Amino acid sequence: MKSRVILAIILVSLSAIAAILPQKKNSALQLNAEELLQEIKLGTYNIGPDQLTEIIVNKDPSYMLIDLRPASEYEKFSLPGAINIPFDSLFTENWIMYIDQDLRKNIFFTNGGTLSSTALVLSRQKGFKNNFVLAGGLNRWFETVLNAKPPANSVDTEALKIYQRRLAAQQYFKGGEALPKNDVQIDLKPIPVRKKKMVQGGCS
Amino acid sequence: MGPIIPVHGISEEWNLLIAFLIGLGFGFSLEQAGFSSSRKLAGMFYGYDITVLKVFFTAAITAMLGLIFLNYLGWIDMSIVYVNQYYIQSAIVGGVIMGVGFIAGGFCPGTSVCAAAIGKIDAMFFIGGSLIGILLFGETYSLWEELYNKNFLGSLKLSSVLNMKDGVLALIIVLMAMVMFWIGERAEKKFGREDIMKEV
Amino acid sequence: MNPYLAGVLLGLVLLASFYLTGRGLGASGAMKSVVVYGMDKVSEAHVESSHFYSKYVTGEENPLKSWLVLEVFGVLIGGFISGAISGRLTWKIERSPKITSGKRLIFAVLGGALFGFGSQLGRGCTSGAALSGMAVLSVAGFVTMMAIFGTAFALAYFFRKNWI
Repeated sequence: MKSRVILAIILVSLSAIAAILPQKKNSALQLNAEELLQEIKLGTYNIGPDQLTEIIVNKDPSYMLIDLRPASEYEKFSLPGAINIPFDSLFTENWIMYIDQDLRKNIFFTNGGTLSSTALVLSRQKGFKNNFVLAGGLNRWFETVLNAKPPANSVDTEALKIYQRRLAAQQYFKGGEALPKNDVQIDLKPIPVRKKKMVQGGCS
Repeated sequence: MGPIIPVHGISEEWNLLIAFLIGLGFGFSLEQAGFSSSRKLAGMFYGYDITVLKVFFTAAITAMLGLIFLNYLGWIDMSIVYVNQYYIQSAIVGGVIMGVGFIAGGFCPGTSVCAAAIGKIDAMFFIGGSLIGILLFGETYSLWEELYNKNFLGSLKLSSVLNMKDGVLALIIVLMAMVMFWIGERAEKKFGREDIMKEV
Repeated sequence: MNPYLAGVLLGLVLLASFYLTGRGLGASGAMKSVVVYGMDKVSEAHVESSHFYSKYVTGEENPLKSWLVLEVFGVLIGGFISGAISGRLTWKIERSPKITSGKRLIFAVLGGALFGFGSQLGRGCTSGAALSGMAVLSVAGFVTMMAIFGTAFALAYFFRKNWI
Protein backbone atom coordinates (compact mmCIF):
# COMPACT_ATOMS: atom_id res chain seq x y z
CA MET A 1 0.00 0.00 0.00
CA LYS A 2 2.75 2.37 1.03
CA SER A 3 4.73 1.96 -2.18
CA ARG A 4 1.73 2.74 -4.34
CA VAL A 5 1.07 5.96 -2.48
CA ILE A 6 4.71 6.96 -2.88
CA LEU A 7 4.62 6.20 -6.59
CA ALA A 8 1.40 8.15 -6.99
CA ILE A 9 2.86 11.16 -5.21
CA ILE A 10 6.00 11.03 -7.30
CA LEU A 11 4.10 10.83 -10.57
CA VAL A 12 1.67 13.59 -9.71
CA SER A 13 4.45 15.90 -8.51
CA LEU A 14 6.52 15.26 -11.62
CA SER A 15 3.60 15.97 -13.89
CA ALA A 16 2.71 19.08 -11.90
CA ILE A 17 6.24 20.31 -12.50
CA ALA A 18 5.95 19.37 -16.14
CA ALA A 19 2.76 21.36 -16.40
CA ILE A 20 4.44 24.48 -15.10
CA LEU A 21 7.56 24.25 -17.23
CA PRO A 22 7.64 26.50 -20.26
CA GLN A 23 7.35 24.63 -23.52
CA LYS A 24 10.54 24.92 -25.51
CA LYS A 25 11.27 24.22 -29.11
CA ASN A 26 14.70 22.78 -29.54
CA SER A 27 16.30 22.61 -32.91
CA ALA A 28 18.91 20.04 -33.71
CA LEU A 29 20.50 22.59 -36.03
CA GLN A 30 21.64 24.81 -33.17
CA LEU A 31 25.36 25.48 -33.16
CA ASN A 32 27.67 25.18 -30.22
CA ALA A 33 30.44 27.60 -29.24
CA GLU A 34 33.29 25.96 -31.15
CA GLU A 35 31.38 25.75 -34.40
CA LEU A 36 30.32 29.36 -34.04
CA LEU A 37 33.86 30.54 -33.38
CA GLN A 38 35.10 28.73 -36.44
CA GLU A 39 32.53 30.42 -38.63
CA ILE A 40 33.39 33.84 -37.24
CA LYS A 41 37.10 33.29 -37.83
CA LEU A 42 36.56 32.19 -41.39
CA GLY A 43 34.14 35.00 -42.10
CA THR A 44 31.93 32.43 -43.78
CA TYR A 45 28.96 34.73 -43.83
CA ASN A 46 30.66 38.01 -44.57
CA ILE A 47 29.94 40.08 -47.64
CA GLY A 48 32.46 42.52 -49.01
CA PRO A 49 31.61 45.99 -50.34
CA ASP A 50 32.14 45.03 -53.99
CA GLN A 51 29.87 42.02 -53.65
CA LEU A 52 27.18 44.25 -52.23
CA THR A 53 27.56 46.62 -55.16
CA GLU A 54 26.97 43.81 -57.61
CA ILE A 55 23.95 42.60 -55.71
CA ILE A 56 22.37 46.05 -55.71
CA VAL A 57 23.27 46.79 -59.31
CA ASN A 58 21.99 43.43 -60.54
CA LYS A 59 18.78 43.87 -58.57
CA ASP A 60 19.05 40.19 -57.73
CA PRO A 61 15.73 39.10 -56.19
CA SER A 62 17.31 36.23 -54.34
CA TYR A 63 18.84 38.66 -51.88
CA MET A 64 17.09 40.72 -49.26
CA LEU A 65 18.81 43.71 -47.69
CA ILE A 66 17.93 44.20 -44.05
CA ASP A 67 18.67 47.51 -42.34
CA LEU A 68 19.07 46.89 -38.61
CA ARG A 69 19.28 50.55 -37.60
CA PRO A 70 16.46 52.43 -35.86
CA ALA A 71 13.58 53.54 -38.07
CA SER A 72 14.59 57.22 -37.97
CA GLU A 73 17.94 56.45 -39.56
CA TYR A 74 16.35 54.11 -42.08
CA GLU A 75 14.04 56.86 -43.22
CA LYS A 76 16.86 59.33 -43.73
CA PHE A 77 18.84 56.99 -45.93
CA SER A 78 19.06 53.31 -46.69
CA LEU A 79 20.19 51.00 -49.44
CA PRO A 80 17.83 50.62 -52.41
CA GLY A 81 15.28 47.90 -51.77
CA ALA A 82 16.25 47.41 -48.12
CA ILE A 83 13.66 46.69 -45.44
CA ASN A 84 13.97 47.93 -41.90
CA ILE A 85 14.02 45.57 -38.92
CA PRO A 86 15.41 47.40 -35.89
CA PHE A 87 17.92 45.23 -34.06
CA ASP A 88 15.80 44.73 -30.94
CA SER A 89 12.89 43.36 -32.95
CA LEU A 90 14.95 40.94 -34.98
CA PHE A 91 13.86 37.68 -33.35
CA THR A 92 10.37 38.70 -32.31
CA GLU A 93 7.27 37.00 -33.63
CA ASN A 94 6.62 39.67 -36.26
CA TRP A 95 9.98 39.51 -37.93
CA ILE A 96 11.47 36.09 -37.25
CA MET A 97 9.94 34.62 -40.38
CA TYR A 98 12.28 36.82 -42.40
CA ILE A 99 15.30 35.40 -40.59
CA ASP A 100 14.32 31.76 -40.18
CA GLN A 101 13.63 30.89 -43.79
CA ASP A 102 15.07 29.31 -46.91
CA LEU A 103 13.66 31.54 -49.65
CA ARG A 104 16.17 34.37 -49.86
CA LYS A 105 19.61 35.29 -48.64
CA ASN A 106 19.43 38.12 -46.13
CA ILE A 107 22.18 40.71 -45.77
CA PHE A 108 22.24 42.47 -42.42
CA PHE A 109 23.78 45.92 -42.34
CA THR A 110 24.23 48.87 -40.00
CA ASN A 111 26.44 51.93 -40.06
CA GLY A 112 29.57 50.58 -38.44
CA GLY A 113 28.91 46.90 -38.83
CA THR A 114 29.26 45.79 -35.21
CA LEU A 115 25.58 45.38 -34.45
CA SER A 116 24.92 43.58 -37.70
CA SER A 117 27.77 41.18 -36.98
CA THR A 118 26.21 40.48 -33.62
CA ALA A 119 22.87 39.82 -35.26
CA LEU A 120 24.52 37.37 -37.61
CA VAL A 121 26.19 35.48 -34.80
CA LEU A 122 22.89 35.23 -32.95
CA SER A 123 21.07 33.88 -35.96
CA ARG A 124 23.86 31.37 -36.66
CA GLN A 125 23.65 30.21 -33.07
CA LYS A 126 20.02 29.39 -33.63
CA GLY A 127 20.99 27.43 -36.69
CA PHE A 128 19.37 29.76 -39.23
CA LYS A 129 21.00 29.62 -42.60
CA ASN A 130 20.77 32.21 -45.35
CA ASN A 131 21.74 35.23 -43.27
CA PHE A 132 24.86 37.24 -44.15
CA VAL A 133 26.43 40.46 -42.95
CA LEU A 134 27.91 43.44 -44.73
CA ALA A 135 31.36 43.46 -43.20
CA GLY A 136 32.26 46.95 -42.00
CA GLY A 137 28.73 48.23 -42.50
CA LEU A 138 27.61 51.16 -44.58
CA ASN A 139 30.61 53.20 -43.53
CA ARG A 140 33.07 50.82 -45.12
CA TRP A 141 30.94 50.48 -48.21
CA PHE A 142 30.83 54.24 -48.70
CA GLU A 143 34.57 54.51 -48.23
CA THR A 144 35.44 51.65 -50.52
CA VAL A 145 32.98 52.09 -53.31
CA LEU A 146 31.40 55.51 -53.32
CA ASN A 147 34.64 57.25 -52.38
CA ALA A 148 36.87 54.85 -54.23
CA LYS A 149 40.54 55.80 -54.50
CA PRO A 150 42.50 54.80 -57.53
CA PRO A 151 44.85 51.86 -56.90
CA ALA A 152 48.34 52.78 -55.70
CA ASN A 153 49.96 50.50 -58.22
CA SER A 154 48.60 51.51 -61.62
CA VAL A 155 49.97 48.41 -63.34
CA ASP A 156 47.83 46.03 -61.29
CA THR A 157 45.05 45.27 -63.82
CA GLU A 158 42.86 43.47 -61.33
CA ALA A 159 42.84 46.41 -58.93
CA LEU A 160 42.26 48.74 -61.87
CA LYS A 161 39.26 46.76 -63.01
CA ILE A 162 37.76 46.88 -59.53
CA TYR A 163 38.37 50.62 -59.31
CA GLN A 164 36.71 51.25 -62.65
CA ARG A 165 33.75 49.15 -61.62
CA ARG A 166 33.43 51.25 -58.48
CA LEU A 167 33.52 54.44 -60.52
CA ALA A 168 30.75 53.09 -62.69
CA ALA A 169 28.79 52.20 -59.58
CA GLN A 170 29.10 55.74 -58.35
CA GLN A 171 27.52 56.95 -61.54
CA TYR A 172 24.78 54.38 -61.14
CA PHE A 173 23.97 55.47 -57.63
CA LYS A 174 23.95 59.11 -58.60
CA GLY A 175 21.13 58.28 -60.95
CA GLY A 176 22.90 57.05 -64.02
CA GLU A 177 21.88 54.25 -66.32
CA ALA A 178 21.87 50.62 -65.39
CA LEU A 179 25.27 49.04 -65.46
CA PRO A 180 26.17 46.15 -67.74
CA LYS A 181 26.60 42.90 -65.97
CA ASN A 182 30.04 42.40 -64.56
CA ASP A 183 31.93 39.19 -64.71
CA VAL A 184 32.97 39.62 -61.11
CA GLN A 185 31.76 36.64 -59.15
CA ILE A 186 29.49 37.26 -56.24
CA ASP A 187 30.82 34.36 -54.28
CA LEU A 188 27.86 33.68 -52.07
CA LYS A 189 27.08 30.04 -52.44
CA PRO A 190 23.39 29.32 -52.06
CA ILE A 191 23.32 27.28 -48.95
CA PRO A 192 20.64 24.60 -49.01
CA VAL A 193 18.73 24.32 -45.80
CA ARG A 194 19.63 21.03 -44.21
CA LYS A 195 16.34 19.22 -44.14
CA LYS A 196 15.74 17.32 -40.95
CA LYS A 197 15.44 13.73 -42.04
CA MET A 198 12.05 12.50 -40.92
CA VAL A 199 12.08 9.47 -38.71
CA GLN A 200 9.86 6.57 -39.66
CA GLY A 201 7.73 5.14 -36.99
CA GLY A 202 4.56 3.38 -36.05
CA CYS A 203 3.71 0.42 -38.16
CA SER A 204 6.12 0.82 -41.03
CA MET B 1 21.02 16.84 -28.72
CA GLY B 2 18.70 13.92 -29.17
CA PRO B 3 17.35 11.92 -30.89
CA ILE B 4 20.93 10.81 -31.18
CA ILE B 5 20.94 8.72 -34.32
CA PRO B 6 19.02 11.01 -36.68
CA VAL B 7 20.75 14.18 -35.47
CA HIS B 8 24.30 12.90 -35.59
CA GLY B 9 23.74 11.02 -38.80
CA ILE B 10 24.83 7.74 -37.30
CA SER B 11 24.86 4.81 -39.66
CA GLU B 12 21.92 2.52 -40.14
CA GLU B 13 23.78 -0.47 -38.71
CA TRP B 14 23.99 1.17 -35.31
CA ASN B 15 20.32 2.03 -35.57
CA LEU B 16 19.50 -1.63 -36.12
CA LEU B 17 21.69 -2.70 -33.25
CA ILE B 18 19.97 -0.25 -30.95
CA ALA B 19 16.65 -1.58 -32.22
CA PHE B 20 17.65 -5.04 -31.13
CA LEU B 21 18.76 -3.85 -27.70
CA ILE B 22 15.59 -1.85 -27.23
CA GLY B 23 13.67 -4.94 -28.19
CA LEU B 24 15.54 -6.90 -25.56
CA GLY B 25 14.50 -4.38 -22.95
CA PHE B 26 10.97 -4.35 -24.28
CA GLY B 27 10.61 -8.12 -24.24
CA PHE B 28 12.19 -8.41 -20.86
CA SER B 29 9.94 -5.81 -19.25
CA LEU B 30 6.85 -7.25 -20.91
CA GLU B 31 7.59 -10.71 -19.69
CA GLN B 32 8.49 -9.53 -16.21
CA ALA B 33 5.18 -7.70 -16.11
CA GLY B 34 3.51 -11.00 -16.85
CA PHE B 35 2.26 -10.07 -20.28
CA SER B 36 3.27 -13.39 -21.68
CA SER B 37 0.00 -14.83 -20.46
CA SER B 38 -3.18 -14.37 -22.46
CA ARG B 39 -5.35 -15.05 -19.47
CA LYS B 40 -3.63 -12.28 -17.57
CA LEU B 41 -4.06 -9.90 -20.46
CA ALA B 42 -7.72 -10.73 -20.84
CA GLY B 43 -8.14 -10.27 -17.12
CA MET B 44 -8.39 -6.54 -17.55
CA PHE B 45 -11.67 -6.89 -19.40
CA TYR B 46 -13.23 -9.04 -16.69
CA GLY B 47 -11.83 -7.22 -13.73
CA TYR B 48 -9.82 -9.99 -12.16
CA ASP B 49 -6.43 -8.72 -13.21
CA ILE B 50 -5.72 -5.15 -14.21
CA THR B 51 -2.00 -5.56 -14.69
CA VAL B 52 -2.39 -4.45 -18.30
CA LEU B 53 -3.88 -1.16 -17.19
CA LYS B 54 -1.17 -0.51 -14.64
CA VAL B 55 1.78 -1.38 -16.82
CA PHE B 56 0.44 0.25 -19.96
CA PHE B 57 -0.42 3.58 -18.46
CA THR B 58 2.57 3.74 -16.16
CA ALA B 59 4.83 3.12 -19.15
CA ALA B 60 3.10 5.72 -21.29
CA ILE B 61 3.20 8.29 -18.48
CA THR B 62 6.86 7.61 -17.70
CA ALA B 63 7.89 8.08 -21.30
CA MET B 64 5.60 11.09 -21.70
CA LEU B 65 7.04 12.89 -18.68
CA GLY B 66 10.53 11.85 -19.68
CA LEU B 67 10.13 13.45 -23.08
CA ILE B 68 8.77 16.65 -21.58
CA PHE B 69 11.70 16.94 -19.20
CA LEU B 70 14.24 16.08 -21.87
CA ASN B 71 12.71 18.76 -24.04
CA TYR B 72 12.91 21.31 -21.26
CA LEU B 73 16.57 20.51 -20.67
CA GLY B 74 17.21 21.09 -24.34
CA TRP B 75 18.38 17.51 -24.82
CA ILE B 76 15.94 16.47 -27.50
CA ASP B 77 14.51 17.99 -30.65
CA MET B 78 10.88 16.98 -30.51
CA SER B 79 10.23 17.97 -34.10
CA ILE B 80 12.26 14.96 -35.23
CA VAL B 81 10.54 12.45 -32.96
CA TYR B 82 7.92 10.42 -34.76
CA VAL B 83 4.35 11.36 -33.92
CA ASN B 84 1.77 8.93 -35.22
CA GLN B 85 0.02 10.22 -38.29
CA TYR B 86 -3.60 11.19 -38.08
CA TYR B 87 -5.84 9.15 -40.37
CA ILE B 88 -8.89 9.19 -38.22
CA GLN B 89 -11.21 6.82 -40.06
CA SER B 90 -8.77 4.00 -40.60
CA ALA B 91 -7.52 4.45 -37.04
CA ILE B 92 -11.00 3.92 -35.60
CA VAL B 93 -11.98 1.05 -37.88
CA GLY B 94 -8.61 -0.61 -37.43
CA GLY B 95 -8.84 -0.12 -33.70
CA VAL B 96 -12.25 -1.73 -33.47
CA ILE B 97 -11.11 -4.73 -35.48
CA MET B 98 -8.05 -5.02 -33.29
CA GLY B 99 -10.26 -4.85 -30.24
CA VAL B 100 -12.19 -7.88 -31.40
CA GLY B 101 -8.95 -9.64 -32.13
CA PHE B 102 -7.65 -8.77 -28.70
CA ILE B 103 -10.55 -10.21 -26.77
CA ALA B 104 -10.87 -13.24 -29.02
CA GLY B 105 -7.22 -14.10 -29.24
CA GLY B 106 -6.05 -12.70 -25.96
CA PHE B 107 -2.90 -11.14 -27.32
CA CYS B 108 -1.55 -8.19 -29.19
CA PRO B 109 1.45 -8.57 -31.51
CA GLY B 110 4.08 -7.49 -28.99
CA THR B 111 2.86 -9.70 -26.17
CA SER B 112 2.30 -12.62 -28.50
CA VAL B 113 5.96 -12.64 -29.48
CA CYS B 114 6.89 -12.41 -25.84
CA ALA B 115 4.60 -15.29 -24.90
CA ALA B 116 5.72 -17.41 -27.80
CA ALA B 117 9.26 -16.97 -26.55
CA ILE B 118 8.43 -18.75 -23.32
CA GLY B 119 6.54 -21.55 -24.94
CA LYS B 120 2.92 -20.51 -25.09
CA ILE B 121 1.45 -22.41 -27.97
CA ASP B 122 -1.64 -20.24 -28.23
CA ALA B 123 0.67 -17.28 -28.77
CA MET B 124 2.36 -19.04 -31.64
CA PHE B 125 -0.98 -19.68 -33.25
CA PHE B 126 -1.84 -16.03 -32.70
CA ILE B 127 1.29 -14.97 -34.54
CA GLY B 128 0.42 -17.31 -37.38
CA GLY B 129 -3.02 -15.82 -37.48
CA SER B 130 -1.58 -12.31 -37.59
CA LEU B 131 0.51 -13.16 -40.60
CA ILE B 132 -2.57 -14.50 -42.32
CA GLY B 133 -4.50 -11.40 -41.39
CA ILE B 134 -1.83 -9.11 -42.80
CA LEU B 135 -1.71 -11.19 -45.94
CA LEU B 136 -5.47 -10.87 -46.24
CA PHE B 137 -5.20 -7.13 -45.92
CA GLY B 138 -2.52 -6.94 -48.55
CA GLU B 139 -4.47 -9.03 -51.00
CA THR B 140 -7.70 -7.11 -50.57
CA TYR B 141 -5.96 -3.75 -50.23
CA SER B 142 -7.72 -2.20 -53.18
CA LEU B 143 -10.99 -2.54 -51.30
CA TRP B 144 -9.65 -0.57 -48.34
CA GLU B 145 -7.25 1.79 -50.03
CA GLU B 146 -9.59 4.70 -49.94
CA LEU B 147 -10.47 4.24 -46.30
CA TYR B 148 -6.82 3.74 -45.48
CA ASN B 149 -5.85 7.12 -46.87
CA LYS B 150 -8.80 9.20 -45.78
CA ASN B 151 -8.74 12.31 -43.59
CA PHE B 152 -5.02 12.81 -43.34
CA LEU B 153 -4.02 15.60 -40.97
CA GLY B 154 -0.35 14.87 -40.49
CA SER B 155 1.34 14.39 -37.16
CA LEU B 156 -1.32 15.86 -34.96
CA LYS B 157 -0.68 16.16 -31.24
CA LEU B 158 -3.50 16.21 -28.73
CA SER B 159 -1.97 19.20 -26.97
CA SER B 160 -2.29 21.24 -30.17
CA VAL B 161 -5.88 20.21 -30.71
CA LEU B 162 -6.85 21.08 -27.15
CA ASN B 163 -4.63 24.16 -27.29
CA MET B 164 -2.70 23.47 -24.10
CA LYS B 165 0.92 22.89 -23.19
CA ASP B 166 2.27 19.35 -23.36
CA GLY B 167 2.97 19.44 -19.65
CA VAL B 168 -0.56 20.45 -18.72
CA LEU B 169 -1.99 17.63 -20.83
CA ALA B 170 0.43 15.22 -19.19
CA LEU B 171 -0.77 16.29 -15.76
CA ILE B 172 -4.38 15.69 -16.78
CA ILE B 173 -3.51 12.27 -18.13
CA VAL B 174 -1.62 11.36 -14.97
CA LEU B 175 -4.58 12.36 -12.81
CA MET B 176 -6.93 10.37 -15.01
CA ALA B 177 -4.63 7.40 -14.78
CA MET B 178 -4.61 7.65 -10.99
CA VAL B 179 -8.38 7.51 -11.00
CA MET B 180 -8.33 4.52 -13.32
CA PHE B 181 -5.80 2.72 -11.16
CA TRP B 182 -7.91 3.30 -8.09
CA ILE B 183 -11.08 2.06 -9.77
CA GLY B 184 -9.17 -0.87 -11.19
CA GLU B 185 -7.78 -1.94 -7.85
CA ARG B 186 -11.25 -1.84 -6.35
CA ALA B 187 -12.49 -3.98 -9.25
CA GLU B 188 -9.71 -6.48 -8.68
CA LYS B 189 -10.83 -6.94 -5.13
CA LYS B 190 -14.42 -7.35 -6.18
CA PHE B 191 -14.00 -9.55 -9.23
CA GLY B 192 -10.86 -11.29 -8.14
CA ARG B 193 -10.50 -14.87 -9.21
CA GLU B 194 -8.07 -16.78 -7.07
CA ASP B 195 -8.35 -19.85 -9.25
CA ILE B 196 -7.11 -18.03 -12.31
CA MET B 197 -4.51 -15.96 -10.52
CA LYS B 198 -2.86 -19.08 -9.25
CA GLU B 199 -2.34 -20.34 -12.76
CA VAL B 200 -1.06 -17.26 -14.53
CA MET C 1 7.54 -8.00 -10.56
CA ASN C 2 5.30 -5.28 -9.25
CA PRO C 3 3.24 -4.10 -12.24
CA TYR C 4 3.89 -0.44 -11.56
CA LEU C 5 7.60 -1.08 -11.43
CA ALA C 6 7.42 -3.06 -14.64
CA GLY C 7 5.52 -0.16 -16.14
CA VAL C 8 8.22 2.29 -15.18
CA LEU C 9 10.84 -0.04 -16.61
CA LEU C 10 8.93 -0.35 -19.85
CA GLY C 11 8.47 3.41 -19.92
CA LEU C 12 12.21 3.92 -19.57
CA VAL C 13 12.87 1.51 -22.44
CA LEU C 14 10.37 3.47 -24.53
CA LEU C 15 12.01 6.75 -23.54
CA ALA C 16 15.43 5.39 -24.46
CA SER C 17 14.06 4.40 -27.83
CA PHE C 18 12.80 7.92 -28.46
CA TYR C 19 15.99 9.54 -27.25
CA LEU C 20 18.30 7.29 -29.22
CA THR C 21 16.38 6.78 -32.43
CA GLY C 22 13.49 9.20 -32.48
CA ARG C 23 10.90 6.47 -32.77
CA GLY C 24 8.85 4.44 -30.37
CA LEU C 25 8.29 0.72 -30.10
CA GLY C 26 6.29 -1.47 -32.42
CA ALA C 27 5.46 -5.02 -33.33
CA SER C 28 2.87 -5.32 -36.08
CA GLY C 29 5.21 -3.64 -38.54
CA ALA C 30 7.70 -6.44 -38.15
CA MET C 31 5.05 -9.00 -38.97
CA LYS C 32 4.16 -7.00 -42.02
CA SER C 33 7.81 -7.09 -43.10
CA VAL C 34 7.76 -10.87 -42.77
CA VAL C 35 4.68 -11.11 -44.95
CA VAL C 36 6.17 -8.74 -47.53
CA TYR C 37 9.40 -10.70 -47.56
CA GLY C 38 7.59 -13.96 -48.04
CA MET C 39 5.39 -12.52 -50.75
CA ASP C 40 8.43 -11.16 -52.52
CA LYS C 41 10.01 -14.59 -52.55
CA VAL C 42 6.87 -16.18 -53.91
CA SER C 43 6.09 -13.67 -56.61
CA GLU C 44 8.02 -10.45 -57.23
CA ALA C 45 5.65 -9.33 -59.92
CA HIS C 46 2.73 -9.51 -57.57
CA VAL C 47 4.54 -7.40 -55.01
CA GLU C 48 5.40 -4.74 -57.54
CA SER C 49 1.91 -4.47 -58.88
CA SER C 50 0.30 -4.24 -55.48
CA HIS C 51 -0.23 -0.76 -54.10
CA PHE C 52 0.26 -2.09 -50.63
CA TYR C 53 3.29 -4.36 -50.82
CA SER C 54 5.23 -2.20 -53.21
CA LYS C 55 5.59 0.52 -50.61
CA TYR C 56 7.75 -1.73 -48.50
CA VAL C 57 10.00 -3.24 -51.12
CA THR C 58 12.80 -0.95 -52.19
CA GLY C 59 14.43 -3.41 -54.52
CA GLU C 60 17.81 -3.49 -52.88
CA GLU C 61 17.31 -3.80 -49.19
CA ASN C 62 15.92 -6.96 -47.74
CA PRO C 63 12.57 -6.03 -46.16
CA LEU C 64 13.67 -7.99 -43.13
CA LYS C 65 16.52 -5.59 -42.53
CA SER C 66 14.21 -3.13 -40.85
CA TRP C 67 14.20 -1.46 -37.47
CA LEU C 68 11.04 -3.18 -36.33
CA VAL C 69 12.09 -6.66 -37.38
CA LEU C 70 15.24 -6.40 -35.35
CA GLU C 71 13.35 -4.92 -32.45
CA VAL C 72 10.84 -7.76 -32.44
CA PHE C 73 13.69 -10.22 -32.64
CA GLY C 74 15.00 -8.55 -29.50
CA VAL C 75 11.59 -8.91 -27.89
CA LEU C 76 11.72 -12.61 -28.59
CA ILE C 77 15.10 -13.01 -26.95
CA GLY C 78 14.31 -10.60 -24.13
CA GLY C 79 11.11 -12.41 -23.31
CA PHE C 80 12.92 -15.70 -23.37
CA ILE C 81 15.61 -14.48 -21.01
CA SER C 82 13.06 -13.08 -18.62
CA GLY C 83 11.06 -16.28 -18.70
CA ALA C 84 14.17 -18.32 -18.18
CA ILE C 85 15.36 -16.48 -15.13
CA SER C 86 11.89 -16.43 -13.63
CA GLY C 87 11.26 -20.08 -14.24
CA ARG C 88 8.32 -19.53 -16.54
CA LEU C 89 9.55 -21.51 -19.51
CA THR C 90 6.95 -24.14 -20.27
CA TRP C 91 4.90 -25.33 -23.22
CA LYS C 92 1.34 -24.36 -22.53
CA ILE C 93 -1.96 -23.49 -24.07
CA GLU C 94 -3.67 -21.00 -21.86
CA ARG C 95 -7.42 -21.16 -21.65
CA SER C 96 -10.36 -21.31 -19.38
CA PRO C 97 -11.27 -24.87 -18.34
CA LYS C 98 -14.64 -24.32 -19.98
CA ILE C 99 -13.34 -24.69 -23.53
CA THR C 100 -11.07 -27.17 -25.19
CA SER C 101 -7.51 -26.57 -26.27
CA GLY C 102 -8.51 -26.96 -29.86
CA LYS C 103 -11.13 -24.31 -29.58
CA ARG C 104 -8.68 -21.98 -27.89
CA LEU C 105 -6.21 -22.39 -30.69
CA ILE C 106 -8.86 -21.67 -33.28
CA PHE C 107 -9.77 -18.50 -31.45
CA ALA C 108 -6.09 -17.63 -31.26
CA VAL C 109 -5.75 -17.86 -35.00
CA LEU C 110 -8.94 -15.92 -35.62
CA GLY C 111 -7.97 -13.29 -33.10
CA GLY C 112 -4.56 -13.06 -34.67
CA ALA C 113 -6.02 -12.66 -38.13
CA LEU C 114 -8.31 -9.91 -36.96
CA PHE C 115 -5.50 -8.19 -35.14
CA GLY C 116 -3.16 -8.49 -38.09
CA PHE C 117 -5.75 -7.05 -40.42
CA GLY C 118 -6.75 -4.31 -38.01
CA SER C 119 -3.17 -3.32 -37.26
CA GLN C 120 -2.52 -2.56 -40.91
CA LEU C 121 -5.65 -0.48 -41.20
CA GLY C 122 -4.97 1.27 -37.92
CA ARG C 123 -1.33 1.84 -38.71
CA GLY C 124 -0.05 0.21 -35.59
CA CYS C 125 -0.85 -2.10 -32.72
CA THR C 126 -0.99 -1.49 -28.99
CA SER C 127 2.77 -1.00 -28.78
CA GLY C 128 3.31 1.16 -31.81
CA ALA C 129 0.16 3.21 -31.99
CA ALA C 130 -1.33 3.14 -28.53
CA LEU C 131 1.68 3.06 -26.23
CA SER C 132 4.22 5.04 -28.24
CA GLY C 133 1.48 7.25 -29.63
CA MET C 134 0.29 8.18 -26.18
CA ALA C 135 3.82 8.97 -25.04
CA VAL C 136 4.16 11.61 -27.75
CA LEU C 137 0.60 12.81 -27.23
CA SER C 138 -0.47 11.89 -30.73
CA VAL C 139 -4.18 12.12 -31.41
CA ALA C 140 -4.09 9.05 -33.63
CA GLY C 141 -2.46 7.15 -30.79
CA PHE C 142 -5.18 8.01 -28.33
CA VAL C 143 -7.95 7.29 -30.79
CA THR C 144 -6.53 3.90 -31.76
CA MET C 145 -6.02 2.99 -28.13
CA MET C 146 -9.55 3.89 -27.15
CA ALA C 147 -10.92 1.99 -30.12
CA ILE C 148 -8.98 -1.16 -29.22
CA PHE C 149 -9.70 -1.22 -25.52
CA GLY C 150 -13.21 0.09 -25.87
CA THR C 151 -14.16 -2.60 -28.32
CA ALA C 152 -12.53 -5.31 -26.25
CA PHE C 153 -14.42 -4.18 -23.16
CA ALA C 154 -17.66 -4.02 -25.05
CA LEU C 155 -17.32 -7.54 -26.43
CA ALA C 156 -15.78 -9.08 -23.33
CA TYR C 157 -19.09 -10.56 -22.28
CA PHE C 158 -19.38 -12.62 -25.45
CA PHE C 159 -15.96 -14.15 -25.09
CA ARG C 160 -16.04 -14.77 -21.38
CA LYS C 161 -16.06 -18.52 -21.74
CA ASN C 162 -12.61 -18.41 -23.25
CA TRP C 163 -11.07 -16.91 -20.20
CA ILE C 164 -13.13 -17.20 -17.06
